[in-house]
Amino acid sequence: MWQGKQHLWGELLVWLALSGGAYALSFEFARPIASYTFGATGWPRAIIALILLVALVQFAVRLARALRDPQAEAGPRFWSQFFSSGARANVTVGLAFGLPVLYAALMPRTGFYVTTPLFLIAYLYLLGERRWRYLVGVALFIYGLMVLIFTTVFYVALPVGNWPVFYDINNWLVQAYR
Amino acid sequence: MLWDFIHSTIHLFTDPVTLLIFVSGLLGGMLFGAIPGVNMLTLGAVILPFTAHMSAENAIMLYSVIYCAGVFGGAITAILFNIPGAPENAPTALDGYPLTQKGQAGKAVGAAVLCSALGGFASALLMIIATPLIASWAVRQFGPPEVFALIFFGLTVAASVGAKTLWKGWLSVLLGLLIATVGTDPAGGYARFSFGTYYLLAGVSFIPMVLGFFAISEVFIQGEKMVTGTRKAPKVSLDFPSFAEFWRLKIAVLRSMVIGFFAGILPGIGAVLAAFMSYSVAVRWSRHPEKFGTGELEGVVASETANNAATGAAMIPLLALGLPGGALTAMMLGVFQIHGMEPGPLIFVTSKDLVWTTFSAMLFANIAILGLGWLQTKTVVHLLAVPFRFLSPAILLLATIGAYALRNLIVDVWVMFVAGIIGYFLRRSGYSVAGIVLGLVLGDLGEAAFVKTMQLTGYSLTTFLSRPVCGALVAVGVLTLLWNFYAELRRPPAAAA
Repeated sequence: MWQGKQHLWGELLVWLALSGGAYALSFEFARPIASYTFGATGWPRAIIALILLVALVQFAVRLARALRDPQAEAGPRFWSQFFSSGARANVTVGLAFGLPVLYAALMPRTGFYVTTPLFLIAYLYLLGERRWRYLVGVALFIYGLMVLIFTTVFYVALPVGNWPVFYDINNWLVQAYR
Repeated sequence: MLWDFIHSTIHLFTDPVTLLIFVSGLLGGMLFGAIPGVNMLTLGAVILPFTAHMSAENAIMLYSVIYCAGVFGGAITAILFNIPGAPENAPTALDGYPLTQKGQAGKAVGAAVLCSALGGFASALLMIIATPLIASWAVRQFGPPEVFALIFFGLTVAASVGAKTLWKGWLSVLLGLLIATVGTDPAGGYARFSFGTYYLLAGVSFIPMVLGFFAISEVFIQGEKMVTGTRKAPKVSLDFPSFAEFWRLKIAVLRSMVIGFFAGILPGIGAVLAAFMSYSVAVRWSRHPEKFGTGELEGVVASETANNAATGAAMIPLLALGLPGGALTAMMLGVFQIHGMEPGPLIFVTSKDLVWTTFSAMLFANIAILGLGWLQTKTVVHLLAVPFRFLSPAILLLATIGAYALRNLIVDVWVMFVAGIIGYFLRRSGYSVAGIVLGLVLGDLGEAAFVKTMQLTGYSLTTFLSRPVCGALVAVGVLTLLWNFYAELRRPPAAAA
């Protein structure tokens, strides 16, 4: 399916959606400026128009090439790889993306000092490390190094969380490390 | 002049306090430059209050040494892990990291060390010889129209670098320019694309974007390869580039020095554009432009020579005219104010010692980079022997802390991850993250220059053609654009896919 020209349409649609969305949003600040004729929208709309133009030219050129030689514009390999990979591999890849995002979502709530060791162990496990000594040892080494550099030496204020118990534990840990 | 230099050099190496400050600045700059998020600006900001307790000579000298060492420090992580320590090291990662993946990390780091030292040394030397002369010329010739024309030229060149096709290159640059419009417009102060949040009024923070597009997207790409079992670990090598290899790149080094030096003089342009422009010009002049982005040593050489050549040059408008060219030189202006001094042409008469100590320190800082950098090549490269499954969580954590520590905002971490995910898909589809980053850097500057030009000239677009320097830059930009279109349309279909 992805060996055809669908990816060309897909890419065009992404750029059309981006430029169309940005153009629609630009009406929110479409107000005249006394000292500047082009207003606040002039520059962003010029860029939007250029994106639209280049996206259309790209589509036309690549479509013309694809019509001449279908193999010349075969879609990016990773889409075909994605669809040919097993469900389990795709779930693992999805988790490799999702876990750091989950970490970023949890960190302001549960704090850096509590969340980080758990994240490190989970991420190492996801990347294929199964020996528990390495899981714990490497996680603690990375964690210790980061705490030493950023908390003990540079006094960087890292998130301590805003959930009651976690807030207390994180603050206690910060005091202990310093 | 020679006596002044000798006198300041003797003072630098015989006064224990001055020497201690010199060494601290050197090591601190290299360390902070190499850690993403806590860059040389962080160090500069942290030590600013303490400079009140130093002499003005030592304080300014400290900042100038941090500047030289910090710009170099960021190259190491850019080459080894695809994490540019600072924006000016972003083009270094384009070929430095592929070299690492090919098992030639030592060669890439070695070239970065040599070229950083050479670029910085030549720039410091030129600074010593020609500060007042060059500063007055550059500032008289470069108004807002010229700055806009230079940015236009820079973008036309950048669009042809890093992406699979010219169209993808331009779309990458334009995406960066569009992201740069988020925040407040330079003419009326209206909020644009801010979605009603206070955070976006100041624009999208730059460092999290760089970390996301380069480091996080790389971790995702390598993580995917590990999970699917397709990843090949890079070999560790400690080879410095041979003399013959380096000699072949002599023209690239000289050209990058010139580009870096002139970009560094211009206020607001500085080392970032210097590195990108030098890289782009190297691609343009190369007989094998298709090799760039796949591990071409000349890419590392071009970027690292230019960004270090810009450091000495950036001191010229600061000292001679009191015009800071970037964030760190603006901090230096703060140091002058703390000590009740005003930089400008008179400083060469009233504070001769300060000027010569700074010149001398920058010259020797660049020589010291050569020695310290050589040590780094023999030690830091061993980090590559650590399995990537152990390194990748450390990189993720380092990038997360770097993004957060910048302003203590978790939103910056989100921006970094969003940029990382977008960067992953764009890179896999053949777009250029370097193009996006350059568009992002130059967007604000370009719009501000355009607005000022329009206001000053009564909306006369012919201004861009009627001023000699401006007209030349526009003409070169248009020629580059046309040549790129021609080259793109002549490309064989397989190469353009």
